[in-house]
Amino acid sequence: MHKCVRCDRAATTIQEINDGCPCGSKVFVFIRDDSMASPLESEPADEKPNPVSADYLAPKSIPDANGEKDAAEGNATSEPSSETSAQPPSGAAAQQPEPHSPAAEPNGNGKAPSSYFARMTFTTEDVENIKIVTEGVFAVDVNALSRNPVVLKDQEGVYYVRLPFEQKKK
Amino acid sequence: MIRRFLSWFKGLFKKKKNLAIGIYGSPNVGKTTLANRICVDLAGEPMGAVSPVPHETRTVHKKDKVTMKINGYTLSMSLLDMPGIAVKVDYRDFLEYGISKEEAQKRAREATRGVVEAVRHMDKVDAALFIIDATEDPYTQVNITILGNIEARSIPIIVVANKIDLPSANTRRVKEAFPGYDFVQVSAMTGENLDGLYKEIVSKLS
Repeated sequence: MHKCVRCDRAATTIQEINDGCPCGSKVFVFIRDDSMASPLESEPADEKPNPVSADYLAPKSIPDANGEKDAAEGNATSEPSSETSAQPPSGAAAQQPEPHSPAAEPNGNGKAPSSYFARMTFTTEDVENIKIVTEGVFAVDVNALSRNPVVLKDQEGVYYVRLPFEQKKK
Repeated sequence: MIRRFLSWFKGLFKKKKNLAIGIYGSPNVGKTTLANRICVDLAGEPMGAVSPVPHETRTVHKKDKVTMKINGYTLSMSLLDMPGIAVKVDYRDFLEYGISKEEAQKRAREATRGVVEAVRHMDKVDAALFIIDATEDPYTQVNITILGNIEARSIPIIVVANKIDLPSANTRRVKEAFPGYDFVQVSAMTGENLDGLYKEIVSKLS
């Protein structure tokens, strides 16, 4: 099924995906049916939605957040960008938890570690406009992308810049 | 005699201009060394710190009221020393200079921000000095891309082959790599042929 990344509402028809969610977002993520059986997916629907609505990704193994700020600290500097979105690869195989991976274990309460959400949000300190959240999952700061060259953060202190390439009009 | 008279006559009507000149190039090609040399020569004081560590300049440095007087022509300009433009910034490159991991990561973040800032400033400069290290291979994607972007904005460019004081400098290779551009070879370190650069600037922008 396809879920809206903003309000977690499940789209029921293709038309709804094409037209966008009633909440205004046009970004949906596909979740494989068997992942819906995950306890994380059975959270109450009336829970306050996360700005980037990535709960469904929670039990994913997370690369070493080297020097990564705590989510609370990151959020304290600025509000998360409303334009931030996560685009998983086709299907949701990449988001499936690996049962015996220690990093995949939820943090006691079944939630993803806070460092995970720090990777999903952009603060004023961030220079990048694309983050690799986990393998195959990216967070994109669309607002910054419209003004700046593409800057991809691979890990803390490692950045790739795609310079704009303009040619003189003849 | 007539030519001299015409030159003097034209000079009477030339207006004093104030132009923003950006110094662009890859990291460690000598942009700040050149900016310092120009500023000391024309404004009496240097612009910024230089260092063998790449990405020493991580923000755009600006020096106003740099005035050049050549052949009766006065050119007043703001000189903008840009951070080096690179397509990859890796903190591990700084570790070999004895910088701690945390400091290197911070430096990498600032350097990347500097790259973005330099690219965005292309819309704010009136002319560009594009600095190339004459001891290195000039055929790089970064060099070609920067030049393309500057040219796309119809900004006058002077290609400056720097570090000609070094034995391995190959200015011919630089000139052949970018034909069609005004070309000057200098040593920002020793000051060699800076007069040639000043003349080229005045000739290009007057």
